[in-house]
Parts: sequence; C-alpha cells; structure tokens
Amino acid sequence: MKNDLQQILNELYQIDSSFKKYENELKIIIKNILATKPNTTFDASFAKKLRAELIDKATEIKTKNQFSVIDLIINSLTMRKLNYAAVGAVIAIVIMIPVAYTLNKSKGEFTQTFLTGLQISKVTDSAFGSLAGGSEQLGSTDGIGAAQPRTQSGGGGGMPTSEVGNLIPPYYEAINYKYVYKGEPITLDQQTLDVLKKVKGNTSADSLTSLLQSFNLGLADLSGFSNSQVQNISFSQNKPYGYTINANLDEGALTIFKNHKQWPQVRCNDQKCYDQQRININDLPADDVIIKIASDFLNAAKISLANYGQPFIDNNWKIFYEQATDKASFYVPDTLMVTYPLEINGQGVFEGNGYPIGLNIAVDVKEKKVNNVTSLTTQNYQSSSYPAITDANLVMKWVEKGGIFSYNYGNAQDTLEIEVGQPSLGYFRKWVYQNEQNDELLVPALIFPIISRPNIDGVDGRVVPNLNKKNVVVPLITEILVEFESEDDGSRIEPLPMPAVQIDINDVEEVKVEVIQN
Amino acid sequence: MENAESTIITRCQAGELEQFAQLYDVYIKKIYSFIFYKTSHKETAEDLTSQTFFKALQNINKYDSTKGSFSSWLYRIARNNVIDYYRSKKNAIDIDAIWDLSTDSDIERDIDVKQKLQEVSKHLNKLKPLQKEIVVMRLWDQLSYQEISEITKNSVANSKMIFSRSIRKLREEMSLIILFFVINITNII
Repeated sequence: MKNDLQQILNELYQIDSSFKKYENELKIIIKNILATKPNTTFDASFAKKLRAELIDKATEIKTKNQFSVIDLIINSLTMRKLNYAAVGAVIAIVIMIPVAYTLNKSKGEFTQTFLTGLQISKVTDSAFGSLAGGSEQLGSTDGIGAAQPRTQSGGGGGMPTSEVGNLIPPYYEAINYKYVYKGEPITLDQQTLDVLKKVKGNTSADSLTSLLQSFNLGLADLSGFSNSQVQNISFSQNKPYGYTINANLDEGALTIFKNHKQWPQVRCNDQKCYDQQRININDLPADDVIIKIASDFLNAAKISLANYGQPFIDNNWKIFYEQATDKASFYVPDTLMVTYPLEINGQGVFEGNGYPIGLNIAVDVKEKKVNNVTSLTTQNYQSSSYPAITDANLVMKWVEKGGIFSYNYGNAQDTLEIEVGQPSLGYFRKWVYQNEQNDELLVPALIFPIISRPNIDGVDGRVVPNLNKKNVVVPLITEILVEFESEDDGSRIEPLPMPAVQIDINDVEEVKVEVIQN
Repeated sequence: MENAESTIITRCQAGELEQFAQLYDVYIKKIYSFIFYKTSHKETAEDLTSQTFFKALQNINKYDSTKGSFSSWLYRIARNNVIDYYRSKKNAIDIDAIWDLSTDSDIERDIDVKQKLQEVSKHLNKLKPLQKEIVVMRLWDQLSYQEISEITKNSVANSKMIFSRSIRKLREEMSLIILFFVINITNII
C-alpha cells in the first residue's frame, strides 16, 4: 500500500467529500503525523540471526513431521480393528519402533508385546560354552589407521580420508607407552561373574512371516514358499530430505540413513569445486548444536534412549588437526558422529581399545541434519556365570600394558607415561565365531579411565598408537584373559600409520593401492 | 507477488518449511516496525518480532487464505503478541490503553522515540485507542484498509470510517496549530 499523500486524501474524499474544502489543513495534519513516525532502529544483524534461527526451527519441525505418518499408524494400532489392507504400513511400524506386535489372526487384531528396553534372562552357568572359541579381534585394534567403530569422514582411525589426490603419510617415529595406575588398590572377590550374550532377532519376525505368507503379490504366491522367514525390510521416504529405514529382523537392528535421491547432491569434476565444498573448521557448529540436532531427530523418531547415557561427539580428528603442519589442507569432516553410550544396568560397554559402544548418530554439518543412525539394536541378552579373575596383580599387569588391545614397538626409542584412574565396572564387547555365526558377548571388565597423557605437541610426527585412547579395558573373566595372555607373545601384527593410498581420480577403473611401510 | 507468495505458502504447508525464509524476507522489516510503533523499544520489538515469526512458522498450516491475506494473518499474530506483552507488564491495564502513545507510562522506551512520541501524542492522544491504532496502521505501517480490517476484525467500511473520523477530530483539535502551519507550510506542500 503506497503512502502517497494524495492517495490518502482521495480515500478520505471518497468517504466524505466535504473533506475537500479542508485539503490544506489535512495535508498538514497527515504530513505532521508522518513526520513524527519514529525511526525503528531496525538492526540488520538481528534480522539475519532470526532468519538463521527460523531456518533451524523449520528443519526441526520438518524432521518431526517426517515421522508424523508413522505416528498416525501407531495411533491406528490402538484402534484394535486393523484390516489387512494396512498391513504394509503396519510392518513399517513394527520395525520403526522397537516394539513387536503379535498378530492374533483369529480376531484380526494386533496385540502389543513390547520388546523395548533391556531384557536379560538368566541361563545355567557356562551355558555359552567356550568364550575363547574362534575369537577374533574384529574391528577392534588400536592405533593409527586401525579400524574403529566410527564412520566420521576425515576422522576414522585418525587420518583424514579423501577420494582425491595422493595421501602421503608423514614420517613417524615410534613411541611406546607405559600406563601408570593412580587409583586406590583394587580387590576382586567375586569367584564368578555374569557374561551376557546378545539374543538376536525379534519375535515379531515370525508374526510378519506368517502375515506375508497370506499374500499373493502377483508375481508369486508367497504361501508357496514354506519355512520362509522375513529377514530384512526396507522402506524409504520419497520427499525432500527423506530417509531410508532398514530393519534387519535377523539381527534385531534398525538402520536409518538418508535417502540419497532426496538429498541435495554435489557433483564436482575438478579440484576447485571440491575445495569449495570443503568445510572450514570455523564453520563447524558447536558440539551442543550438533548434539541437539541428533537429540531432536531421536525425539521425533520416538527412539528410546532409556538404555543410553549422555551423548558425546567423536572429536578425535581434532587431535590430528592440531598435529597437522598444513592445516589449510586438512580435511575437516563434514559429518560428525554423536554417540549415545550404551549402558547395561548402569554399566558402560566398551570396545577392547576403550572406546564406548553406543547408538551412533551421524550429523551432516552442512545440512545440519541427521545423516544416518546406526547401531540401534534390541537389547535382549542371556546371562550366564563364568569363573572370574580374583588376582588384582594380574589385572594391574594388563593395566600397565594399556589393556588388551595395546601394542608395543620393538624399535621405539622413547617410552612415555600415561596415567589411568580408579576403574569402574563395565563390559567389554567380544565377538566369538561359533557354529558359523558371530555371537556378541558382553564380558565383565574393569574400565580404567585415562586421566593424563603427554602433550600431543611433544609427539608430532611420531607413531602414537594410543593417542586417542580413552580407557584401558581389562576383562575379568578368567578364560578370556588367559586367551589374550596366550596371544601376547609379541606376534601380534604391529599397527602401521595410515598407509599411503594413491588414487588416480582420472582412471576410476584402476584404483592403485599401495602400502608403504616406514 | 501475491501469486508468488501464495505458492510459497502452499509449499510451506506441504512441508517445505525452508521456503518460509522467503516470507520472512518480505515481512521482517514491516512486522518489526509494526511492533516497534507499539512498544517503542528496540529489544522488546526484537523479542516480539521473533515470537511472531516463530509462531507463524509453527502454525503456517493453520493459515487459511479464504479467511484473509497472509499479511493480515501475520500482523494479527504480531498484534496479539504485543497485547500479551502489555498484559504481562501491566496486569491491570485496560488493553485499549496499549495504543496510548503517551510517554509517561512505566513501559521502557527508547529516548529518541520518546521525544517524537511527545510531539505526536499531543495530537493523537485525543483520539480513542482504536482510532489511534488505525491512524498509525494506515499512515505509519502503510497498511490498506482491507488489511486493517482483517487485523482489527472491523469491516473495511468501518475501518475507513474510523480513520476519517480520526482525521476530522485531529483537524478540529489542531485548528490553531494548523492556522500557524498554513501560513508557513504552503511552500512545502
């Protein structure tokens, strides 16, 4: 609406033509009022900040709305009478929330039998057989370049990874560490401790199978396939920033990851483009912002955090960033991992290298959205007692070495001290390959937190295999510690610095991988 | 613009909430000013402006174009926020007095604004609260009578009538001043 003086006058004349004879006076009055219009002191920086906050809020609302359809179906489940036409959607719900719905076919209704939360059933002593059988240190070695349960771009085992250019490792000089215990003396008086074995799968799978077998999908009549069982179900959101959800009923695991078709794609053909896409360290949101993004997503998805502790962000990459001599070339991760550490009866669960295991939420730094959710599994265990370590000196011997997954370099010139504090009782996750399948065991262990370490500035350019180690893990089950004892003969493969991976981006069919040993 | 705005609103309501930023860009300054004219305090105006846009974003699905323009809907949220603000500040106050632009209230105002308000309030305080509000909306906020009617829940005809009566009253009240100005201001006009 224009504020033209004449227009305002004309409007007045239309209302009452007698105004015309006072035109000069009216002009003065209106001009006077307009002249006294206050300066609003509009602040552009305020507007910019509010705009950014609104966009964040819009993202948050969108994330919540992405699950609103599922909420609708959840609500429909409470309506008891559910016809088979809605079965497809119901399947999604059975998986989406870790809840099993058992079908009462005779009544055509679903009855809820919740399988969320921690479930531990006691079985007889030593019921899992040998705990050492076929043991492998799956994905749990220590040191630079070793596999870690992280998927952080540029982080991982410590060195940034990139698909472009040549990565040439700097010269490293090996260092050994001695772990020095600074806590109170410990006593171990329990003759046996309970080992937990993960019970895979989900009773809902059987229900789903019986349900699906009643369908004729056109291409094939599923009822013709006897003894079949649903193993995986996937579904995707076909909307901007949608997700793909995969439910592995065999493993009782749910994975949520971005539906790539629905997310913005960056296609670069040259280095300049790649460089423009790179994240500057100053652009990284604060940790609490990243955690809030993860938390909001989990809330919206109604993912229970009952079995998890306070979240933290894997910032190990910053150690290597600080060490980097050419920080401008350092690949700052565009995805940060938020971990909600798993807690079983209040006790943490750890890899052998001391890293906490938990629910992992990858947050896309650029989009400020959750990229994927992994390690969301049912927490259903069997518990069985096994003979436990009672010799505190034996435990301390392992502490001094840095726990079960720690290494020494025969050619190291220096030995530096790392201090560890009072331990807490926790679990060490061990994989055992038996009967052609991997079983996940949670073994009682003492978790010694690292409370002091040498300044990383002092070890620049040298092999520091335990630099990002957070805890020292010593299992308390005799059989398992004996197994590690037998392996600790110096024959373990020494971890190497990040290998020099040379990738020629111009010839994608011939990827040359070369490992250079120092 | 209306078609474009309508499209943006439709996309927002369809879930593309990031489109809301475009609406924000169009209205931020207007809404801030609208609130500032009623509060005369920068920080308060910023707070209430933030609240207005957050409420609009969260309730965009409730906006019904058949019941009025988006602009009016947004201004009405802002107006309600101002009313709520004054309610929280002065529990016993007559809500109509919100639009009293006198400067002797205990509401915090910016100093430079106070001086201007003192001048304008000489003229406007003779008007009834709704008259003052409509005069300000028409002359300062540059809102159309249609928008004013939707914001204040008066008819367009009634809004026009209130405005014209306000001007008539101001003319009567200011006759002596105007006589002085008429002599001196002819050149300006």
